[in-house]
Amino acid sequence: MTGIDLRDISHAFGNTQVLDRVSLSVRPGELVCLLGPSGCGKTTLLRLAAGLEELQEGVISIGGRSVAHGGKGPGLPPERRGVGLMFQDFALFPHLNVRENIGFGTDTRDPARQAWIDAALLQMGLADTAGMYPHTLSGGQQQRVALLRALAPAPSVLLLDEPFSGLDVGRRAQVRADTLRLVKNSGVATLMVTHDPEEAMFMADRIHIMNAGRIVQGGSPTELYFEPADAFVTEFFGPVNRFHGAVSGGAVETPLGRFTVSGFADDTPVDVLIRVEGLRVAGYADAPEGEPDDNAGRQPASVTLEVETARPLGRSSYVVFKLAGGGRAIGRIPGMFLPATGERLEIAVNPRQAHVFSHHT
Amino acid sequence: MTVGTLTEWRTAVRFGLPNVWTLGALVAALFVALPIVAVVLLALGGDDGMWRHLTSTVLGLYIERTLVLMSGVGIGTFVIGTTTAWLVTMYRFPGRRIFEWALLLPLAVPSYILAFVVTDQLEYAGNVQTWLRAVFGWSRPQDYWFFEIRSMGGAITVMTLVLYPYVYLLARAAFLEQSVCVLEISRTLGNTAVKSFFRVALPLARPAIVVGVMLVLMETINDFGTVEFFAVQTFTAGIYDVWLNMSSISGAAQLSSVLLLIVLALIVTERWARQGRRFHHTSSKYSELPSYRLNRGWGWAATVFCALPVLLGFVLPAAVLAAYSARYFRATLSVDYAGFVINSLTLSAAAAAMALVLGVFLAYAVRLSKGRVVRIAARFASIGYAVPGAILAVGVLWPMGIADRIAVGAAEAFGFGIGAIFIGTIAPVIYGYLVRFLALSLGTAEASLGKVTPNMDGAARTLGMSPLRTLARLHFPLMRGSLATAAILVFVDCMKELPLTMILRPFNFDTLATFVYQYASDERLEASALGALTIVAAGVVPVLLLSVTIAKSRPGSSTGIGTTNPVAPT
Repeated sequence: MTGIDLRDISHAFGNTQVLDRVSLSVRPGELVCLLGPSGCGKTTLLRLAAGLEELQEGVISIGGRSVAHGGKGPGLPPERRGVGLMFQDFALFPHLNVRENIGFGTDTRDPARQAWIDAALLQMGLADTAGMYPHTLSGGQQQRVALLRALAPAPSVLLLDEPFSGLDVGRRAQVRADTLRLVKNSGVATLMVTHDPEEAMFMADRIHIMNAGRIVQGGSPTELYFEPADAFVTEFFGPVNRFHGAVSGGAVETPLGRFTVSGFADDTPVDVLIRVEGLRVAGYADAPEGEPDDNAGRQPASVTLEVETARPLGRSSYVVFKLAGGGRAIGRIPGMFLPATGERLEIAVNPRQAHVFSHHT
Repeated sequence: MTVGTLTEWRTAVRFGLPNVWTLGALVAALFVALPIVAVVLLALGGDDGMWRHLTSTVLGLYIERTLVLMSGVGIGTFVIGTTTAWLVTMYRFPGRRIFEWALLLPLAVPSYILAFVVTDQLEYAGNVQTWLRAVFGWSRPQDYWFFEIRSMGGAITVMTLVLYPYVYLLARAAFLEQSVCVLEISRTLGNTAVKSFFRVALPLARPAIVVGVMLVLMETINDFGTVEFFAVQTFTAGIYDVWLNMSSISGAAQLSSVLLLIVLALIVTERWARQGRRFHHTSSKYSELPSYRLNRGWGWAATVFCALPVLLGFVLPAAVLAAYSARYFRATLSVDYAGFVINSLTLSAAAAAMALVLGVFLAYAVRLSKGRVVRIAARFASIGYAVPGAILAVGVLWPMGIADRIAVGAAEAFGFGIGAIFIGTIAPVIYGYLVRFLALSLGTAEASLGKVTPNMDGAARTLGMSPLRTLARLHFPLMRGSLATAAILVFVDCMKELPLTMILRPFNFDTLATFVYQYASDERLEASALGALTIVAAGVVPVLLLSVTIAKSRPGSSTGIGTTNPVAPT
């Protein structure tokens, strides 16, 4: 039995189509991320799932039961769907203290739920704040209160709308780990919306990438990172070097070497996207390890390039190379690697980090 | 009609009738608009030759006097309001903490009451001239020159003293909202504190100050008591004169229509300035405003500058009235003081309750409907605050007369005869109050509803609350305080209201305001002192509420001057 199932959801505001035949499902205990740039319709999908927006097209079922059917009225009202929703702005009730906020959706006479709340307060380090009001809490505390409030009624589905975007960067890693643990322990089917690929990869069992109202690709974090379906998905996971070329003899020539391609006829114009972390310096000891084997049917490329500048980033270094044709290529080399300007280095590109797509003008 | 409204109408047609919110909002807007429309219709309809008579005789004078009064009060309130706001916001000097709220106190004094007190003190038999004669040994009016308080200059002074708090309030809020960073940047770029004020702070606060001055001007043209008592022939005095003394309702309506043009200009300017405010927050970083300590000389100069308006605008009238109330307590008892209080309370409570219900209804209508029709209707329903009471009085009677005729007709159809059931009762007065003060309750309701974000609604719903329980457990607890404030604001304004009440009240029916006005303009201030003091005391309540709001409003938190006017029109 599925936790939540969304089938062929389409939605428009006036003349703007925000969702276009979106389908996805989340099983109990699973965490699925909806990843996409802002304004791509992710939040609308959550609001439809919660019943806060009237469904126009498609079917939504929760726990195997249809709760909304497009064009057939508003469907089951939100209060009867058993869905926990956490908002980006947390939407804590300012007139209630922490304990009252969390208990808002629970029956005060139900000892089991009240005991759960007390245990959760303790576990999330909120026990001391139980009597405090939301505006006196830090962002991280507010986030945890909002999360517990959504989980307190023991929903079968949890919807998280950009749950970490309100937090400062230093806090995020810890809050993210706490949230993941709590959600996984509760066994709820979780659908999370975010625009941050790193966050999505950290949290999700499966990721669906959305663009302009459509799901462009779905899969595990590793699949999406190494086998992106198009240039949009590729670039969404991080900066790339982009080259334009034409297929010739089953390969394409770029300033960073020659890459074999399959499935393209000769003379097809293509775009080659090479992740900045795909550039490796031959003979440099600190090369990344543990990545899937390079030579899985693809030929490694190697070129010699002149260094223009190199800047440290801490855990890695940002190196700009001059290209023969006048352009530049960027590499992110692990560790503190700062070659002098003008130095010539042999660069090999990990073919799994080079992605070839037919060129769209 | 815009695309948005068209789509909404089409939707409405497709799903049958517009829902109860849209329909209700439209009815409410119509209800409020009716008196204003009636004025224009009356002006266009009746031609009894009055218009020609007016244009050839007094119209030019009315226009000139009104504009002079507006300019004088506008400039006066701008200077006093902006300067005091800047001083208490940016500098430390003796008494600053007290002035922060005390500068609002004159708002509690209706201008006609200050006019009576000032006249009482400054006329030939008043304390000031008596004292001067005693000191210098003069005995006759010919012995010395003394300014005539019952003049244009007097009217400008009196109104400036009670109306500057509008500018002070908005300017201060604007100064508080400004990021201190921009002021500090200005200092590092080589400007002195004073220069920074003129080059950075004042331009940034300009939209808010413009809103303040527009509110002042609306109050200025609304005033009837002061100009009538001081014999300054403004439009408002003219409308009253033409209607009641020359018995020409169409003439009054025609004058009103001309005045409406001025009002329209004020509304447009105000709206425009309010919109401008939105662009002004570029930096989201706020820190506690620094306050510069003034040296001893300048510090005391600042104290005096802030103290004068408070002393003249509030302390003087309150003290004089309190002294008279105590000394002439017996005279007070000779009039029906308790009866006037009861009348005032009845009218104000009824109007406040109705304004609250209507305001909350409209605020929800705006929130629940996404379309533009309702929003425009709600905006329209709140323009009454800009329309002078005298104009509303002309306009209110017409729809009330129609309602009467319908009622009488209906009664006859059922076989029994009744007289007028609206005109001649307190119904027109309450209708007028409602039209004029709906903006207050609507604005407050909207602002407090704004504190309940849509996401909070969503959170409550997904946590298992039905819409009704969301209302009870989320909206009501969050809005309770603000709604009480709204009711108080409307209540007190109705207590102070003079021109509308004066014209529309039933025969032989007096409120505190009309009683005080009639007695005091008859130079019997003593007997009406307790009544006047009661009005001032009632007026202090919203001022205290406002000062609490101000104390709470810190940079970064938005309070007060959002889309509507939290200030009580006098």
